[in-house]
Amino acid sequence: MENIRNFCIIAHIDHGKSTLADRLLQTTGTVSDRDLQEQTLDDMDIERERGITIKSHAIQMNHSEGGKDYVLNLIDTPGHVDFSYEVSRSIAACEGALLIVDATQGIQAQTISNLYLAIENDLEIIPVLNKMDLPSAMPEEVKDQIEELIGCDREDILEASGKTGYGVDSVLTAIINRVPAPTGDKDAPLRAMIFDSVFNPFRGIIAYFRIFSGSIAKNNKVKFMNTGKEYIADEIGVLRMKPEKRNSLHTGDVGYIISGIKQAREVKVGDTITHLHRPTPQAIQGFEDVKPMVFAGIYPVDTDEYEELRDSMEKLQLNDASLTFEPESSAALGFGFRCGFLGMLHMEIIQERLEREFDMTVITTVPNVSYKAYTKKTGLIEVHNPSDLPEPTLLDSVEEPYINAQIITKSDFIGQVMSLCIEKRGVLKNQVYLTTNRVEITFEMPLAEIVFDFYDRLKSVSKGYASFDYSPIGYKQSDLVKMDILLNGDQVDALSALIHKDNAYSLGKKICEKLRQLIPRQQFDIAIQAALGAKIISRETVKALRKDVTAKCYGGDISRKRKLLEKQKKGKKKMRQIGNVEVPQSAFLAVLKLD
Amino acid sequence: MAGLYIHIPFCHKACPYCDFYFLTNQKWKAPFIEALEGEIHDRAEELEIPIESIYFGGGTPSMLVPEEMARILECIEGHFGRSNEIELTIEANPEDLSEKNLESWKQCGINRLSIGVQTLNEEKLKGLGRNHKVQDSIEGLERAQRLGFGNISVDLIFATGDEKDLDSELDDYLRLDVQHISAYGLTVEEGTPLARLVGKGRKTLVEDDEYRRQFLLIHEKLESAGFGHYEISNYAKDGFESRHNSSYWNRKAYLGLGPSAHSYRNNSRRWNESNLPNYCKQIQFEEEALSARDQFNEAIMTGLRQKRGVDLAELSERFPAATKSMIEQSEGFIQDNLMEKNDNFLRLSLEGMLMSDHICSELFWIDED
Ligand SMILES: Nc1nc2c(ncn2[C@@H]2O[C@H](COP(=O)(O)OP(=O)(O)O)[C@@H](O)[C@H]2O)c(=O)[nH]1
Ligand code: SF4
Repeated sequence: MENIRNFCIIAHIDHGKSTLADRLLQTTGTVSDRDLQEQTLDDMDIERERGITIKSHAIQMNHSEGGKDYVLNLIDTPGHVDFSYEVSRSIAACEGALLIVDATQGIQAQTISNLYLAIENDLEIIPVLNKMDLPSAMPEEVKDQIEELIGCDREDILEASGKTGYGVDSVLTAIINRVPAPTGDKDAPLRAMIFDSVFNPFRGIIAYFRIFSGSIAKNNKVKFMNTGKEYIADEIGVLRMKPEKRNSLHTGDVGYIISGIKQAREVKVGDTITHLHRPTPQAIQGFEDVKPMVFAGIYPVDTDEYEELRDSMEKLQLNDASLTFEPESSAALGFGFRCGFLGMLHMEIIQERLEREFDMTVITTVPNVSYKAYTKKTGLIEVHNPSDLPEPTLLDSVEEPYINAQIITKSDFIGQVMSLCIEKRGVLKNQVYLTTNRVEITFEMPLAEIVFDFYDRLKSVSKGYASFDYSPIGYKQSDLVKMDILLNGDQVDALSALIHKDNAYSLGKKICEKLRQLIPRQQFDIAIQAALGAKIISRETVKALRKDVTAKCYGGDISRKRKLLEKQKKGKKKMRQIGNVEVPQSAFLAVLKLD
Repeated sequence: MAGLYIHIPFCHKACPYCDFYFLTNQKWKAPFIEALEGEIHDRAEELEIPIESIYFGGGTPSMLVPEEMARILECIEGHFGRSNEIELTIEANPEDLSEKNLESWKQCGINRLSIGVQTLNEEKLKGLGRNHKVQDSIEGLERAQRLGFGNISVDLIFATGDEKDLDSELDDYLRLDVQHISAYGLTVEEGTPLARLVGKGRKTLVEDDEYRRQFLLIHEKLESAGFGHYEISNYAKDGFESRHNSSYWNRKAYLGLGPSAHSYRNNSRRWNESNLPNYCKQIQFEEEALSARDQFNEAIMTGLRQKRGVDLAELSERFPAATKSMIEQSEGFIQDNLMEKNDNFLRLSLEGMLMSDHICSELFWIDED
């Protein structure tokens, strides 16, 4: 046990986590240079393109230091706030954390909240300034920030470059010398925590765990304490570049278990694995059933593909238990599903995976958060879809989820960031200068406001110099109204949204304007209206297309023109007919990107 | 039968709405002509002789001095032979219609002029940012006619937003006594100065309804003056339809020489890079083989631009299934009086022409992928 080191990496996106991780794998010989794919730890396509490790993984390395051999387990953490629960479990599985900070950028909001999580879990923090090869590195200033933040000694902050390999050895040495070895009673009953799981089409669900006490052997009968399900450990092992089977694993080890589980939802991150016959008296604390935060309808563009969509969603759910869905129908869109997501990024990922991996063309409707409606007769109802909101006359009150939003930005942008948050119904809670020109601002604001074009605007008002993180803080009563959108007089349920009463007029106007830009002209006028109940609050018209003709078409124009018209026809196939109006996919998400 | 297109990439000055490839710097003229001769030499065998038409387009071919023109034509003759049957067109700007130029063209065997008149209204002409005056057009035309050019086409741009009195402008056009009129609605091409003006809201083009009104007025006036509306943007007196341009719409082979020129033969398209300095060093080009689907869609697109329409017998011989489903698709348009079908030809009605892009794309064959 004393030669095991379990650690994770805390870093803001693009600060170089993947690059440095690759270096560690390379230096320890875990992966040969030849096999080193860029960013080894990210293996889903989408992740690689976004540069975000969405699902956490773990990998074991061997390293010798001072004549002794060590086993290092790197537990990777997802880098986005949508997956903060998964991050918290990964952190709970470690004794140490590398805090990687881009020396040209300094600390970001996301990093801070994960860092606090790590500190709360008593992890040994090893700060590393990365990208030291860049001339724009400002090590002294960033060291100031780090010192202030974690109260460490200046000389304990390492300098490295994932790009050149500079400082990588000192990082390995620090992991061995500074991260404590795991502790725990190896003879006590088995107590292991699941921190991640993946779906393998041949083996079913593979759960990753960390043993806190006791040991596990192949073919043991085990029980998952929160779900209460019992299994046989068909295969256990450790995670090298490929999984390697073992006959037994012991206290402090990080490993995987395969036990014929087919459904991702049976394996919950944070759950405790113990022996069926000699169970631990106490499950590991901190388990939560992750609840979706954002809901949206997903519909096939082609109504005939409903069954196919259901199939695809079921398959997706096999490896992504945080996705929830149930059938719903919409007058405008026909049959589809109301889906629950951890956040907006998660929603985008699901939509992208449906398109890429399952070749489904889908329409995603305006997302909303989950509301609590108190009705006069039936009491509390949870509303996941604007059209489920009871009539105003039946309604006592509505509550919406609030969050604590932390934003770190340069002091130059503080004014703009504050106005944005206030416009988003935020209430300022705290303001701290981290250094002379970096400020952390804390706001309490409705989660729903984050869903509507918050990230993009934050980015633009701060010229990219703002980072953002949030945590839910419960429900609060709100003055919400349902805004409907009508196309040529027909209400399009899939475009309805629940919004704050004070925003209704300006939002209605913006949405109508946006739709006017997105809905292509047809052979008749199209009226776009926003309404609160029977009251029209905004109106735009897409003028009829009365001519559509190319003037010149000679030798050089023919190919280009043909391709253009072909594209036009393909585009139409991706549209959805509502009444007599052709509506493009993008229109359903129009409200998210209002400028 | 085939056509030859020569792209002359020079202009006096850039017109704000134009997206053709040209330079205003004339120092490239000599190397261009040399490179062009090289290309003629290298690619002559791609076309079957005899050729039916030669077309000097641009750019502004009338900027070539008589010696340059003669040299190019001599080279062409050397490779493709010579016949009086060939339709030999030069695009000319009104300001270049000097006695000297016209004489020399005549001598070279040029028998058709396409003159960039654009408009006979001084205000409108100014708005278009052209290099000439209305007077240049009128005088130049008279000169050309006096010298015996009997096959002349003039351009007319409409829908610019400056049409105060299109009706009388058309009367002026008719008085020119030409054989062919190309009438183009002004189009905003991406990347042009005009596009930037429109983008900034400093220039607005006409609304759809005004475009329609002008299009229909032109049709009515020109047809009643004896011009056939043989292609969406082209009108001709009987027998004066442009042979060269018709070869594009009837998908006959053509060889395009010069930077940015396109060629078409054996169901394959090729286009030269739009870069004169490179052209002078080493010609770069791209090529694309047309799939059955591409060929079908082009046949629809080019066929429907013409009064004659799409030859259904010929089309269904080549693409029986696609033609059948296209004909089914067209029923709705026929009902809406946007199309007509008779004698096994499918064509656009006058109203249909105004919606031709929409209709074509609907009739296209698109793979279910
Ligand atoms: N110059 C320099 N660039 C680096 C270094 N480490 C990472 N990068 C670059 O920074 C970007 C983000 O790195 P990546 O490892 O994907 O960051 P992650 O999002 O934290 O995993 C990539 O373009 C890397 O090539 C470094 O030490 N020096
Ligand atoms: S003269 Fe013709 S080719 Fe030259 S810029 Fe003007 S429109 Fe374009």
